[in-house]
Amino acid sequence: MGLLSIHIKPNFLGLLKCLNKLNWFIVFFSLINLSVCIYEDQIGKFDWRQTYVGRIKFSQFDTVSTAKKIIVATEENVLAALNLKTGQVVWRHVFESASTGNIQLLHVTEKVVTVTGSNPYLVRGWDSSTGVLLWEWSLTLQNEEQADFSEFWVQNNMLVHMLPVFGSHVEVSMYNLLTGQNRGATSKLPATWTNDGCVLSAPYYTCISGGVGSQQLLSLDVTSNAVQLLSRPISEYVNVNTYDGGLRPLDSNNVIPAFTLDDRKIVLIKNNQFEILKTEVVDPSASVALVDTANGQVVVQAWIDENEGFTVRAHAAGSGAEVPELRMSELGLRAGAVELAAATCSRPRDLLVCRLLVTGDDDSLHLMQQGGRILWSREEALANVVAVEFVELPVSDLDAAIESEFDQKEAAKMYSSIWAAFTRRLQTQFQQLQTLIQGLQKADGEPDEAPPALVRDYFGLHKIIVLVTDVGKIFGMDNLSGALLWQYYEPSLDTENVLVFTRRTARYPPHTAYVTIVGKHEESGNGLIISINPITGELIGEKLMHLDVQLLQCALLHRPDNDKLYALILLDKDENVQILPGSAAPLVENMYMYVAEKNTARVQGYALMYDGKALSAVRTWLVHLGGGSPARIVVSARKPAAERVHSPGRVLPDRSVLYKYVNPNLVLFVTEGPDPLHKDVVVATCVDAVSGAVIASQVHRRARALPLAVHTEHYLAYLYYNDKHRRTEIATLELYEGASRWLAAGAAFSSHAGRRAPGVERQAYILAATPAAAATTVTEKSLTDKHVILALASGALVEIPWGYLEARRGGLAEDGSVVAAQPAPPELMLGADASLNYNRSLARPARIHAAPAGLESTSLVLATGLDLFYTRVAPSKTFDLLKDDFDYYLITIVLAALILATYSTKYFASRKILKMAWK
Amino acid sequence: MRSQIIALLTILGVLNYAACIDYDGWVNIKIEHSLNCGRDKYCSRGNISLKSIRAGSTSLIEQIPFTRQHIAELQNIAEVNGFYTIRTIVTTADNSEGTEFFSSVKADAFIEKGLADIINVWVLPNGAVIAVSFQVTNTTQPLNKDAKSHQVYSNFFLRYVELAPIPDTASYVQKLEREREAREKGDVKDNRSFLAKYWMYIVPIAIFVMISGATNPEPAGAAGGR
Amino acid sequence: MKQLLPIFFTVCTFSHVLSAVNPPEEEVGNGRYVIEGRVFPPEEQDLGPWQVDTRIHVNGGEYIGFIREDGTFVVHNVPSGSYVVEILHPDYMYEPVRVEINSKGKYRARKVNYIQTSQVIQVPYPLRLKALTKFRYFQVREQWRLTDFLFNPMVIMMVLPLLFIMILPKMMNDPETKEDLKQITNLAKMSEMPEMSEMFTSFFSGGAAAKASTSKAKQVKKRQ
Repeated sequence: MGLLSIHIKPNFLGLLKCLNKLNWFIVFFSLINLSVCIYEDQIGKFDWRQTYVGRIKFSQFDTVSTAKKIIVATEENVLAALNLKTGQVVWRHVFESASTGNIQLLHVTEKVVTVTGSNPYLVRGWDSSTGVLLWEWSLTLQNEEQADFSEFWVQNNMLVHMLPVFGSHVEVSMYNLLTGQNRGATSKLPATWTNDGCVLSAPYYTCISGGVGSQQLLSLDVTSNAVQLLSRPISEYVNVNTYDGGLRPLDSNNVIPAFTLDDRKIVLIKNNQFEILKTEVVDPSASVALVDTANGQVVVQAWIDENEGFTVRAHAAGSGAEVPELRMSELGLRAGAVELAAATCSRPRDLLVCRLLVTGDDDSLHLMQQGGRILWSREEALANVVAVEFVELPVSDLDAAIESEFDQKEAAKMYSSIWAAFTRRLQTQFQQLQTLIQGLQKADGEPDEAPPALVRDYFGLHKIIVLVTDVGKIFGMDNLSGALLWQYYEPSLDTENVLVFTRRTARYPPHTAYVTIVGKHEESGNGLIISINPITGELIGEKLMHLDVQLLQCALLHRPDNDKLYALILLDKDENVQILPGSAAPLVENMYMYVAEKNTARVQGYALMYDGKALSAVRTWLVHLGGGSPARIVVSARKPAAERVHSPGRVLPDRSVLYKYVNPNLVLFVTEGPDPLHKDVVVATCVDAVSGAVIASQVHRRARALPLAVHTEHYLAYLYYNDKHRRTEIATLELYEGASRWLAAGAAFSSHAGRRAPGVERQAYILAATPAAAATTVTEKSLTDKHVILALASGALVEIPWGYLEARRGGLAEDGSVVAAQPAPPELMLGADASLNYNRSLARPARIHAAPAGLESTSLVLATGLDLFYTRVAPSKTFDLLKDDFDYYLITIVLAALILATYSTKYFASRKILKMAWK
Repeated sequence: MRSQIIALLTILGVLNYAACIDYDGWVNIKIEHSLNCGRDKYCSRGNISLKSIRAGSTSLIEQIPFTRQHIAELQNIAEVNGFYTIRTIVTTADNSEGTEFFSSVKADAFIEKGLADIINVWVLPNGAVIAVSFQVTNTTQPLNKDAKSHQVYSNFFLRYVELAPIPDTASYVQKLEREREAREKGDVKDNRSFLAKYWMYIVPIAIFVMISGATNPEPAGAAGGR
Repeated sequence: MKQLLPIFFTVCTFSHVLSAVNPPEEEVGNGRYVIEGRVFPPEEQDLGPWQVDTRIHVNGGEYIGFIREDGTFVVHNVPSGSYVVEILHPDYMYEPVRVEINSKGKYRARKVNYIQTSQVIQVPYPLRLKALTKFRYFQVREQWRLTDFLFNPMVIMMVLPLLFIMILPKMMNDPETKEDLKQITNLAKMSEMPEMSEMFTSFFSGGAAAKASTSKAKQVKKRQ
């Protein structure tokens, strides 16, 4: 026993020592982790959010509270406070997007008062500094028909509502602003002279009435107790013969009632008298505002001059003398037409300081100071993005040189002489050395002033986002910073159903990248094509092209021409085909198009033929997805163009393979229509767009379709609202060929070959949220898993692995019978950790766009809506990239310490041996 | 092979009709094509009439035989790799004026397969037809070019739009119920023994006791050894 | 065919009767009602103006309500029907409530259950809503903490005996034990077992060291 303990003891201690050392390794390994969502310290590292409010409808400076602000109410039904110095949103309230959220009045004093909705109206009071709701009350009008012509304003702490009944009378009601109590009921003022051209400049209601040549200018203070009608023949002010009925209220005015007449004269109402100003309207398109300064009222006019750009002139209202301090012009500001949204002037230390808030036709918002200085600008067009395209950046010149060196065609020329190849190699290496030295010098010296060059990065994460907005403004945006690189405004572009095509990437120098936007002309509805270099924003190729016919459909040709440009094929209303550029017509072969009529659910297919001279479209198929009843197509989803499918099958638990049905021509149509027995039915139909064959179809009873569907590889998913259970559900379909392959590996799929029906797996899940947009992640080679990204009305952007949505769960047993997997919860779990945008809620999300990065693991995601949110996701984690929080220092220190320890032990050991030897 | 598919489809049809079709009725499908039509754009190729949607594929197909003229025109289309387009007009009890559908097959493939095609008609649960599509068969039966007239072999399938599945709440609720019952019945308390739970604390103490127990008698032994 | 037709007609008439019996449920009522309630902010405060960040969404934004200073809210002009009321705050989670307003203006509030839609668990109306938890959006970084390390059973298993070995002899601080310990150390030196450190040394210093260590062992023997 004693002996045993002797043997154990030193061993045990040694073991302890050894394990203790190991513990450090355990600690070290615990630093390497497997993460799903981001860490708190990674906020803003891969993502950014930009907050917008929309096109300004009403705006007013809040000069009362300590923090200077501008309170704005917008066409997007948003009430917000903007910081006067920076233009950033201080607080923001988003109302309903329907007409119930329309803002009718904004009145700013110490409190902000808004009237929203359209009968019933809601009157709300807000604290201007914090944005907290103070009071609200509802106002319902009895007179339904005329309610749209209602006017509201605030006077003496009373809310005045005026309802004109044209040609008859004017109803005026006054309510207590805080409580909504109707004081003095409604008074009806007889006014047979009213018409729909009347304007309100509170409290006066002004009209022009009477026969041509003898028109009268009539004005009535609708709030005064004694009805006193001002009336003057119009001939006193303008030439009756040229007058065409122009009567406009001023754009920004909270001083005295005033309006412009015939876009020429400015008329005030002072002391119950019309008073015409000496100052005339300088330009017919000018926006006129009346501003109160210390020296009395000033008339400010702003317009875009053809030569001078944005121009402002100001005149004193009384004398008509020009105020020179306020004369400004700014060549840089080109925004179509401009409007003075708000203006304020103060006079500290005998210096007239005015601030003008200017909105452009392109929805931009600028705060200007005198001297034409723009303090800040906001591009509110981005609150309404309708189409997005991610574009690759070109490689740097150096990389381009290397690429061309190893390009096969070039190389063939080059290797004709070894000497040439050698000199070329030396040259490139010298260039590389030069850039390296330059880089080092830059790092030493002052930080680089110029923004980083727009060149492709090593991982292909840096891209340009081309954004097409509702108003017709096109932006180029840097995806990493969210900074705007260029903008192009086309006022005549109607962006309904606009399409964006990347016709050439920046991969082929000397050819530039090429993006084409196909929209409609605002007035005629004819096709309008804009071709743009997405890197610089310059118009190229077709530039701005007005077609003389309406378009039905357009597509890109599947193969590029000699200039690596993909031709654009346009199918017009008369079923004629155009191709741009025309020289690409001979390339058309096996090209098909489909046209879906949204309101009739009729879908037609066309085959494009080239007969050696011209292109023609032949209608090959026609289906009625509604089946004769009045159904409409709510959404159609086709596969992303040029989608790759990484694996043709799916391995089952018994190691056999179930092959996917991957038909590149498959399109999913979700239609909704009434049904005599089941209220509404939703029909989802998968149609082969080339042959017109229905591949699969299913029907939901008592359901309403939502315009959200995703379609990639062999699976499809769409959302609908289940009316019976009052919940949103997501239906998923998966198509399989079966246990054997129909075509040999690598064989091209043909829709015309004899077809077989694929097996369809179906499933449906409950989604306990209101979805607003859906998309799938896209990666370069589609090796990575696919996740579905849903934007919810609550403002969250959630990522759902496809595994949760899979229609096919479980596997096949050995005898071929299907073994059910564990019954999964029928409700999809949307945990907070699945949220991509953490607590950066998105207001009114509308669309999600995903694009591949150069890294296979990563997909770039942009969510648009009122806010823009960009992030990158790695559905299978970043397997091809070190974690961004990888601790290079720790590993360096550990390595260095180990080496040091090795050598020092060696040294000490040799000393010990020496000592031992001396003993 | 083909017969298998037919059998499968028939079974599918039989399985579905009970659950899916809300009401029954007749369907008449007029088939028209643009071969040998003279002045008209389309002329009749045949007719399919169904007495009952539920009965499915048991239908009556009447089609005209193709003459040499037909074949010649078809071959003309095939030369330019064109399409042989078929127009169908579907009339039902509810829809007497008829709905027009189009479908096309490659003319060369149609000749190659000996004028054999498959007609798929998709029907909604409410009895409305949403699509009539033609396709060539997989089988090859070469066309006898010398024959005076050629019969068109058509296989007709009536396919029903299925009722989509609903989220499987019932089985989930049952599962929850079962779990709850199990929890209530058997106590799922951690009834492992004391030793099983705390072995990791007991073992070191035991080892220590062993070691310390061993050291005590040891000096005596050592002394004895010397 | 003849048999089927009557069935169809009966179904049709039956559904017609049904819709005649309770039409109000199907159609949207003309009356306008309000949904009222009060939101209680999360306990841990310093949220600033939490009222501004909190929104009331009825049916996913079909109607929107705003919160007053004291946490109360009113959603105006809601026709009769069934609504899901959600309280949205970027950082805190609230439970949604289903509010049903019938055509007579009677209210019923119940828990939202999407799986068993017919199950009714009533909650008081006007609504009183409390924050459930804080959303956990972020992964917590694994930090090396001494306590975690020490309370790891493996570590305890190794460290505790070590402590006992070190402390116990001191506790039994009588001369006899000391004598014993001395003897043990002597024995340890005497043993043929090479020490761990020696092994490493020999490994690092190569063959020469090996020779030295054997000579050392000899020396030890000799001395004894």
